[in-house]
Amino acid sequence: MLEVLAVLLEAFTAQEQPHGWAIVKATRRSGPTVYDALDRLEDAGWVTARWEDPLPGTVKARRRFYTLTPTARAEAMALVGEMRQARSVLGSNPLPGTA
Amino acid sequence: MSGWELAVAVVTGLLVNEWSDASPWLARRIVQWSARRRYGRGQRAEIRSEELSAFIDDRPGKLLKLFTAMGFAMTAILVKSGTQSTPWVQRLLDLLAGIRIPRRRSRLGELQLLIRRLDVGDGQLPDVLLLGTRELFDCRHTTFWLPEGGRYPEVLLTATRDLDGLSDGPKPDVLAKLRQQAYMSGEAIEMYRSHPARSEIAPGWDGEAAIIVALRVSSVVLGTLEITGPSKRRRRFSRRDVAMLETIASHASIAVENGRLMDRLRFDAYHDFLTSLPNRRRILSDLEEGLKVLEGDQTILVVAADVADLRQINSQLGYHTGDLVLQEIGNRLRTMVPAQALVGRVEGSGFAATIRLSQKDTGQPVIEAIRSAFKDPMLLDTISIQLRAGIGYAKATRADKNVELPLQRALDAAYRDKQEITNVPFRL
Repeated sequence: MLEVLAVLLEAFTAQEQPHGWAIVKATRRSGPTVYDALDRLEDAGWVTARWEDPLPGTVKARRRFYTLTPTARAEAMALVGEMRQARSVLGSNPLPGTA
Repeated sequence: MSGWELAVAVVTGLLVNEWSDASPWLARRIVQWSARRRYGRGQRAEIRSEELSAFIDDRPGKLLKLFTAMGFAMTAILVKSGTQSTPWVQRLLDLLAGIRIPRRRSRLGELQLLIRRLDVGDGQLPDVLLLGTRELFDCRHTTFWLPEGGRYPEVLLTATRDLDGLSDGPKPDVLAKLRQQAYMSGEAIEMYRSHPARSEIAPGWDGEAAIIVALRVSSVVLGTLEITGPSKRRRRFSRRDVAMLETIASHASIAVENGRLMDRLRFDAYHDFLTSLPNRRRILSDLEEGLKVLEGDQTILVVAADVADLRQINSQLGYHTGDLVLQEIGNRLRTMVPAQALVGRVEGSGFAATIRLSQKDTGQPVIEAIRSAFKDPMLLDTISIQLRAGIGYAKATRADKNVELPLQRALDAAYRDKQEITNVPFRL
């Protein structure tokens, strides 16, 4: 969950909107883990999602882009900060964006 | 080439061609099925189905689309049934989905890393030890127990899978008896389903395999370290796990002992050996810090007590009795002086207490508390010793640059008071 938050936070700062699979790749976690986290964050109102604008005249499936809500940003920053600190003590599994 | 061989080649070619053309269509159908299997028939299944279909569309090659969709289907089946996929299946699924998950270090490598991390400050040791050990064994709980001993209160902390931070021991604590046993024997104890004496040694046990090892420095046992609930793929821990946990425990014991030693050194530097009260250094540093944070017209009252008759007690009853008298006075002051004041032994026969006062406070309760500590006689076997002391006090303000001075003023006043008291000779 925190890895997903970290990726969304990075994206928020860079004013980007990653789609689900981009988050899976960035976190290097399995699909079900990441999508479960996204579902929970969306249910809690921390994350909003929007569909890709379909190209006119195509039947291609649309991607879905996820963004952290501004209100959740402060809490996410605190949580990710805490986790980075704990992990720097443990020295393991750095969160995305800390390298 | 015979006629039927030709027919087989043509039909195979057609089938392969048809199959590769049908693959993207089939892949989408499989993705839809996977999403429904995973999320039922709600809106979320629709959302996920389209999201994953978009991903399939982005995959190059018709057959790769199909294989990726099959990977999603397999994952959906495994997740829905609650089955933990074996590592190679998970790796294959990740490979199909184009994710490069970093390979885990060997367990021995992880063990070495954990041991290196144990060399941290005392305050962080439980976190590093418990979270690191739990991660290494991928077990449900890791528990660290240090029974109460001397100045050290009991420590019982647990790290639990999927929970951040530590909690106050496992609940319900069904392994308490076994933990005690490991502590008394200093030996590792294993608990598993087919254990012959399971109902006797662990009544109420919930069926999760466990290993408890002693935290030992040479022959002294400090506490225990335990792991319970092996990873989902295993029913019980192995002999190798016992050896690894013992290795961690031996390093953790040294870290605990080092922490206690540092603590002891810090304590000794600021406490009086005889009474365990703060010593002169502590009283002065506290006074110095207190003066820095005084507000408005606040002051700090320094009350001193100079114990009388110590020379006579030492010469008539021996130095040991003199020490007992000082310890008794220390104990009385510790319990009688209000908690807001800091009381300590600042020289051979001198005790002092400091307390912050606002303008309307007089500090009388502290002065009275110190006086009352000398009211009752001290009973020693058949002898009754009337304790006496001169009491004096001085105020310290922000203008005091040298914090020794207010303390000395209070001690001098106490000494003068003692001279008057000792006009009446000491008698047993």
